[in-house]
Order: sequence, then C-alpha cells, then structure tokens
Amino acid sequence: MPEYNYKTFPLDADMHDFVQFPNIARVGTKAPDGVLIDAKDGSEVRLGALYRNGVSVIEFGSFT
Amino acid sequence: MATEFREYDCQFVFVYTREAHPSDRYPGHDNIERKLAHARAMVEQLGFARPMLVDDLDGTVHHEFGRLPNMTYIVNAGGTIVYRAAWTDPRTIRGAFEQILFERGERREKRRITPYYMEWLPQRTNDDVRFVQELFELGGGRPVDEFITAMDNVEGNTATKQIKQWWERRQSQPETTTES
Repeated sequence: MPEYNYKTFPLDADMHDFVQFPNIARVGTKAPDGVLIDAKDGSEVRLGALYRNGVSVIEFGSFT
Repeated sequence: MATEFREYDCQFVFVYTREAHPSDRYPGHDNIERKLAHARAMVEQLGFARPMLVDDLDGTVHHEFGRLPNMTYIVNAGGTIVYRAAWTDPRTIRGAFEQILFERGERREKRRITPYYMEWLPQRTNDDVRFVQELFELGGGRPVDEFITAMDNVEGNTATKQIKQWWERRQSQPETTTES
C-alpha cells in the first residue's frame, strides 16, 4: 500500500480502500470523532461538537 | 450541494484530505502549511460556500472514515451515522434528505418510528472523459497520464479507450493557458 500522501496516483487506484469500505464506520454506529482545522481562520473544529449542532453532511475530497 | 439542500436545515462541511491526483501544480502534501494552502486555493477557485475543514497531515480523520477520495457521510444530532456513500452522489443524498424530512414529520405528529437497517448498491454516471478533462485543467498532464495508467492496470484497455482517444487529441493541440 502506498504512503498516505503519495507523490503519484497509485497503480491500484486505491482499490484496497474501496474493498475495505463496507467494514468501516458503518451506519448505525457512532461517527468517529476527531479534530480538523478550519481553513478560514486556522481554528480547531472537533467533529463531536459539530454533530451536536444538528444533522451533519460531511463530504471528503481534495482539489484534484 | 450545500446550496441545493439548504432547505433541509442541515449543516454541510467539506473535509479536505490528501491530494488524490498529485500534480506539479498541487503535489502530494509534505507539510501542513502546504495542505492548508491547497485547501484555501480550492475554496477560492471553486467558490466554496460551506466550511472547509482540513485533516491533519497523516489523514487521521480520513482513515477513521474509510480513506476514500470522494465519500459522503450524514450524521444525526446524536452522533450516529445514518447514511454513507463510497462516492458522493447528490441523487442518493437527496433521497436521504427526503427520509430525514419524513422522520421529522413523524416525530412532530408524535408517531412512533423505528430504525431499520438497509444496504443499497446504486449506480452513478461515470464520465471518465469529463473527469480527465477537469483533472487536466486543474493539474496538467501528469495526473492524466497516471490516471490512465492506473485504470489500464485495474480495469484493462477497453475501459480506458475513450479517455485515451481524448487525451491523444488534446496532446496534439497547441498548448493553452491551462497548462501554465
């Protein structure tokens, strides 16, 4: 498996992660907590606090 | 997407992960400052209205959720995952919101509701040619070459035929400002 911040797109196109996805963070379970950085001002945002504000739609992605 | 669904009174956030298709313009991250800079460039260029939240350099949160490049979760106010998709698709998200609205209405009417588990394998439009066009505009030629090589490896030459035809045509054209 390539390092997380790979320098070139992996030859297996991340297929390992797609195969494993059904077994991770399933519906009906508690969503993972964690700390993220708000790109706007550099402040820390805890996901657990976000969830308590109401229904949260969380999209993951990157520029390219 | 956040604009389309704002009537549903939910909060939308985008979690910026690793660069899925590193390029000379937007290379893989080797420090958090670069990662933040890429995220801010994305906000500026794509006009993001929702909060852009950046994961740490090691992708700690991304790992916890499954590490896919374009996935979406919906989490209720109790912190429970009620929807997740390996690929962000507004069609199924719209369906999930219709369900959330139904549940809210039933609660308002004080009707008893009970969760049930379901799984689904919907299919999406997979316009690889459009994808590589956008990839080229954002990152130049290198990520296009790498994507075609990986798709050849995973799915075989037949699946990449149209992409290669477009890429050959594009490479035969004079350079444009998108490559600067």
